[in-house]
Amino acid sequence: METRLLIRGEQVAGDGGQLAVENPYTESELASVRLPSREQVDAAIAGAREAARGWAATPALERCELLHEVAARMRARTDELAELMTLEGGKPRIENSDEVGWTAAAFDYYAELGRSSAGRVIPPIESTQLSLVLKEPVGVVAAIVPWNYPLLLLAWKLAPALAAGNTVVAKPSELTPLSTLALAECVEHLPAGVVNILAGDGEIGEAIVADGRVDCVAFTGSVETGKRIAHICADRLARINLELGGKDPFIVCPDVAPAIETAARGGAWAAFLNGGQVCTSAERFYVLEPVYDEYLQAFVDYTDSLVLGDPLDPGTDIGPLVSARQRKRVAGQVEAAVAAGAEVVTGGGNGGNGTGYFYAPTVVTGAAADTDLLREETFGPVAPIVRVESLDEAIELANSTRFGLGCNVYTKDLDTILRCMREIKAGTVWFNDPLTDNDAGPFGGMKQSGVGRELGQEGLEAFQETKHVHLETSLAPKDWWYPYGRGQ
Amino acid sequence: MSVTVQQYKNFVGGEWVDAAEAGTAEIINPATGEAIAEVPDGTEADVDRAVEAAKSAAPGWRDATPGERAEVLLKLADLIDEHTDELAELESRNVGKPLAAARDEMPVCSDNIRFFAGAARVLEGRSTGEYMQGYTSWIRREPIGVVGQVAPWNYPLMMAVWKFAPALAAGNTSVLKPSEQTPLSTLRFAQLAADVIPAGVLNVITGDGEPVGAGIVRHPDVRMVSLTGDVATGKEVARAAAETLKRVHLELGGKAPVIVFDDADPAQVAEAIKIAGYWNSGQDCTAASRVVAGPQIYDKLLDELVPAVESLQVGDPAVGDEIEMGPVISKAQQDRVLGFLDRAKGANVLTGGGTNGDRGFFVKPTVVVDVDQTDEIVQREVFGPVVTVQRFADDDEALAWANDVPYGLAASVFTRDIGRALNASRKLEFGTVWINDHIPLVSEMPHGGFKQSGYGKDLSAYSLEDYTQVKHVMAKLD
Repeated sequence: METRLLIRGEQVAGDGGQLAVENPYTESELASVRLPSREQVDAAIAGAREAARGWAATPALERCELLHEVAARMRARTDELAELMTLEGGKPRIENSDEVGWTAAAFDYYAELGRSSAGRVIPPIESTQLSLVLKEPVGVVAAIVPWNYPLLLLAWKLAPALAAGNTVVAKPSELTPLSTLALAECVEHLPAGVVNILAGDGEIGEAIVADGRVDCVAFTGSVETGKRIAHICADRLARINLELGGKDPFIVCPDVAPAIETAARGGAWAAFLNGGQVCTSAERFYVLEPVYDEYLQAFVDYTDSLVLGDPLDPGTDIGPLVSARQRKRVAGQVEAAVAAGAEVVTGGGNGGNGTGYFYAPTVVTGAAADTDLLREETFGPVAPIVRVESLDEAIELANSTRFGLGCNVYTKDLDTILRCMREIKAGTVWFNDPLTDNDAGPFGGMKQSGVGRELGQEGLEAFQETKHVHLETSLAPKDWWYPYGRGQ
Repeated sequence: MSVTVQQYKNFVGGEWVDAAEAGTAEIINPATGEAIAEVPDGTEADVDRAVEAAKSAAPGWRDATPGERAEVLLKLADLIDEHTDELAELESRNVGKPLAAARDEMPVCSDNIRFFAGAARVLEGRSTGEYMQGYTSWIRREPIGVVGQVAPWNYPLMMAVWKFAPALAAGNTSVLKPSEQTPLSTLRFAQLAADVIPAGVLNVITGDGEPVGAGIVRHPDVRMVSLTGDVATGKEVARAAAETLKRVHLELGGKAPVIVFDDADPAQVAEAIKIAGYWNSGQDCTAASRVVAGPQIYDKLLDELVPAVESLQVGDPAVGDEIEMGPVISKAQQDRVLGFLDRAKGANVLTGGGTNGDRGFFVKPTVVVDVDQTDEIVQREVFGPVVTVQRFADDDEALAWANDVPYGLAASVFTRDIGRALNASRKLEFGTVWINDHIPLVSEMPHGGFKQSGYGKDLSAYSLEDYTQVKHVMAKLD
């Protein structure tokens, strides 16, 4: 498989080193990607810089039409893009087809939002004045994207950045560069340099982030890398928009007893979707005592019915994890919890799959509150289920980690809903509908789960600067000017 | 207690004036039926004089910055706070409402004014942009000009505030007519305001709907008219305003339903209805006047509601703070309310249902059951201390009954189930929907009706927008 970078509107072979991309289902090499040389990284940033002025001056309606065209081209390539993501990431193909659809939808959404974006006319302080608030692009945006949703998480940066009039240098994860590089076909109708796509690991990412010509860095990934980016950007006060990890709680309240199986299915989906490799995966279940036993039973039964297998097979529910390293990390957290007294009720191990980085969907009970399994991000298909005595306890535990990305609650009780929506420290709170995204709804984290928001109006504003224009129409001198105290 | 009949004048162009044709009218205390004041009884000549004053003041007030206008409004709010006791006592005597209730209204009035003082400073045009290459656009939000405002008698000063505060904050000048029955607090407020507000920005004239109210609506230099009143008057205003294509802002009657689902707490609901149905003797356009209760909770609710209503202390507010409910505003209103009860054949009055004592215009707090959805007492606004209770069979019937009136001002739903609460909040055709309470309002949120309860919003930034007009300015860049 031959891959090309996109630099200054041209698809070119990389002049740098080689990167082997592995298929996590077969554990064999899928492609060898030619990485950009130092000069090519420089050229991509320079290209974005050169294109910035023209793109910012392009009428919003024209940008809108060009972005709709990006969406249309993506939809036309759904099969190709979904297959590439399946091969490089191991996510079930059906989820990847959905992802292409959501990716295109984000472009359609921001095409229109960008067109409608407006500043304000604010009240003047004197009646001879006009005061305007203008919204302008930031300039050159670096978009650094992870491997779990390569296209979707790129779109949540690329689409609003472009809609707001910025140019972009994008870098996918070193584990999943193929689908992103294939995206060049979908943006080739844009003016040269508006979108540049590179590939590479953290070293190339850091070269982009550290470049003084980059005005804003939008990143999705781990907390540790996010902090590293924040440190580098702090030096020149470049703008940052960071969507980092989570340790999302999932609270089940007693009033859902009549629908306990639905709540269990919803929980299992929230925990195991994409092998639990979602930043908003449900990673801690707090179940109120009156429904605990029933919920656990329903959850385990449902988990045991899930099918592990070839992600290209339409009958597969859960594919392999993305890498050997990832599986080791997940297994290590579970082992440590068991060593501290937890019990694996179902799952653990590879589910009988000798090849592929499989980890069976796992339900754990009795985990101690201070184990990493209940404190640090797992990013794997593991559902620790904890019995709690009261809603107070559930909310306190939900808020007890350094993360604050998302939270799920199952209840129809009005008072419980009003309490949870105010008291839970999380960027998103879902009630009775786990993990559903809405392009109009801002997404991102509180606490160490990040800075800024993607999607919605906030997702556009992340890539806009605000300018206040103060216009005095009278040329009369002001009485507060010099000279002081000597009369006029 | 001795009764002194106080003389009042109108406030026009910063001056204190008698009616142009020298007429006067008596103002009555509805708790005693005695005259307590004499005010000018205006004619169309008074309207002309006031509109002329407002017109002269308009350019200067329009050009004042929002900050300068806010400063004036903040001083007006301070004046109300400084004269709470006096204004509350006037309101209590003129409307017949308990003194404590009248006192509660004063900080609400000053907060409303302060809200609009601040909101005027953040009133923004939506856009500045380049939508066609080579051009840029922006929006100016401008005042409309001279605004005519007609206030009702149930909350005289508060309703006056709801009208003049957003109008003035947005840069309009106002000709304000309080109700001919309850002008005292507004005239007294104008006296206090005279030193603070530029001449002609706020003018207060008194008199009957015809000729003064109608004169304002007919006047060609009045660019907008806002009314809080009954539906029939609202329609007349809309028709008359059409002649000069004035903007019209109408907050009219209501017939607010209270939907009580079976999972609600009957004691909590009864307590809420005791307040929301009988506050101000039920003379509130959002009064909780129609309870529709679920099949299981209906009996339990009545068991709680009837004694709660019977516990209300009714009497002349001058007796003391133990009085919780006073009379209705007038003999005519008393006759009107009792007329609804007389005509409600087949209905059962569980408590109340007559006058209270032989002096003043009292109606006992009343609960009526066994009524049909089509009955007059269910369909039309009573505007008195009368609450009907119906038993519904299922959720669909509850919502259908709640919506099946010509009005659409406010409604409430009592339930602990989020699905029912959100379903009701979506399907109820009313400008305000409360969940698990009925009646509270805040300055920051809009109040106004759907259907025949009128159009236009009071309170909130939406009200401020109603008192402005939008101008698009488009500039060629080269």
